[in-house]
Amino acid sequence: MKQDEHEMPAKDAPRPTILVVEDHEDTFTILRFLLERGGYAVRHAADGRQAQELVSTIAPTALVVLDVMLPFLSGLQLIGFIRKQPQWRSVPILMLTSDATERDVVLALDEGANDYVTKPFNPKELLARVHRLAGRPTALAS
Amino acid sequence: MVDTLILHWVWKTVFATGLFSMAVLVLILALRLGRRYHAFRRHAFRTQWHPLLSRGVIEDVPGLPPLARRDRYAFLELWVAFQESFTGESRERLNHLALRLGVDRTALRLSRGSRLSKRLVAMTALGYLRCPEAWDVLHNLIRHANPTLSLVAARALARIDGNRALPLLVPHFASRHDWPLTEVTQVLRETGSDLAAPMLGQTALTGSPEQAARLIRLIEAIRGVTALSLVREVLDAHPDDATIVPAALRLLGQCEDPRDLPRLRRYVRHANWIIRLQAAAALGKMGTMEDEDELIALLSDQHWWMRYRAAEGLSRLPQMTRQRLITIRARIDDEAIASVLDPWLGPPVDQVA
Repeated sequence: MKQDEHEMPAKDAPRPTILVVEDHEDTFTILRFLLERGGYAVRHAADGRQAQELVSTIAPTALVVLDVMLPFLSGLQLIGFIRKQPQWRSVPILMLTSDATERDVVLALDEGANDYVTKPFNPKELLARVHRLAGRPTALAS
Repeated sequence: MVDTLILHWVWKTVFATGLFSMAVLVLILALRLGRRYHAFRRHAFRTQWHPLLSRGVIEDVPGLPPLARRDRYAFLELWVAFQESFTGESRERLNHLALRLGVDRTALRLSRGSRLSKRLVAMTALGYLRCPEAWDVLHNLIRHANPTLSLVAARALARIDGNRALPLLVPHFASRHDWPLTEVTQVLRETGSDLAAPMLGQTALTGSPEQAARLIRLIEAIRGVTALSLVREVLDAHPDDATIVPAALRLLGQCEDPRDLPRLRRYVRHANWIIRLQAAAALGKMGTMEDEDELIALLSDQHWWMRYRAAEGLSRLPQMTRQRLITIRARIDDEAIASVLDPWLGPPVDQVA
């Protein structure tokens, strides 16, 4: 099973980890770049099943960034799955939606997502939302 | 003598077959090596430029490496993908980076080429770059018979200068049925609803009924409230047109301006059931309790969709309650007609905890 892991070694303080569930490689690469520069470590699941497996096996992350359209299991289905895991119940979820799936936003918020960003997105806005939900990393905050 | 001749031919055949097999083998090896080299080049290109573009999205990148001529198209492809992933100042940063590398000239050259895929990428790039030198090339292409090429040209023009492009594009939006409405809507949204909607409305006033209906659907798609008065004029000029009236009624329902209620009420008894349907759907969004009797009457319409929309409209009326819907249902003798209200009644009372 392909399961990418991209973690930057912590220098001063341990970096908060964010789970990014995104099947589009280019989008994920950009997200990883932005989040790592923003002071976070990133774990990646490239489809719904990988995400389910990660959520079942790793410790809860500071935030889940979740694409709506995913292979095998949609982002909306994943929200339900994540919210059923006792340890993950309170982990904030930021949805990534495209213009065409904006109607899914209401469903996602109903299911338990905390916020959403529409693609194409403004990197600063995305990072601001991430900081708000995951907490600003200590190194940056200082 | 014969044996020697046969041996000679056999030898020649074996030699030719061997030679042919060797040639095929060499060709296969060359193709495989070519593919591996291409993959290697592509990987090397992405390894170098993807991080630079990612960085360029959020900050200036000093000291860019030179961009090899053979990588220029690959760069444009990657750069366009980046442009389509971001909004805001990131797009300006990406433009600045592209201009430093001089890929605007590459895009201009490719937009005049013969390879469709390269032309499309180049034209998209010229639009994002807002390259004024590309205006004439793109303007000529909006009349092209290929719908993809012409629509990409239209989109690029709108990005370069929306104010200048829209008067040129709107007549094409009205008449080019090979341009999907969803794609045209994207172009209009990028130029801004307030700018686009009045132009669509003005063109609808002078166009054929079919064109007017298409333009009104576009106004609805971009939520062009500023064109509402123009659409009312179109509707009043073609009060029974089977294409214009449904499109206009949908728009009126979307805008929910109470001044349009008398117009909507005129259409709920129209002979054309599609017009009745849109009138009922719009009344469901903005009607008052005055419309209750009319909507109840429409529950007996011969068309199922009409009955469905009437029931939906009833359920949405202000001050409508579940109890009142139950009472209305009880007053209807025909069970087939009454049952159309059921989806809005929720579970039977005895099943509600």
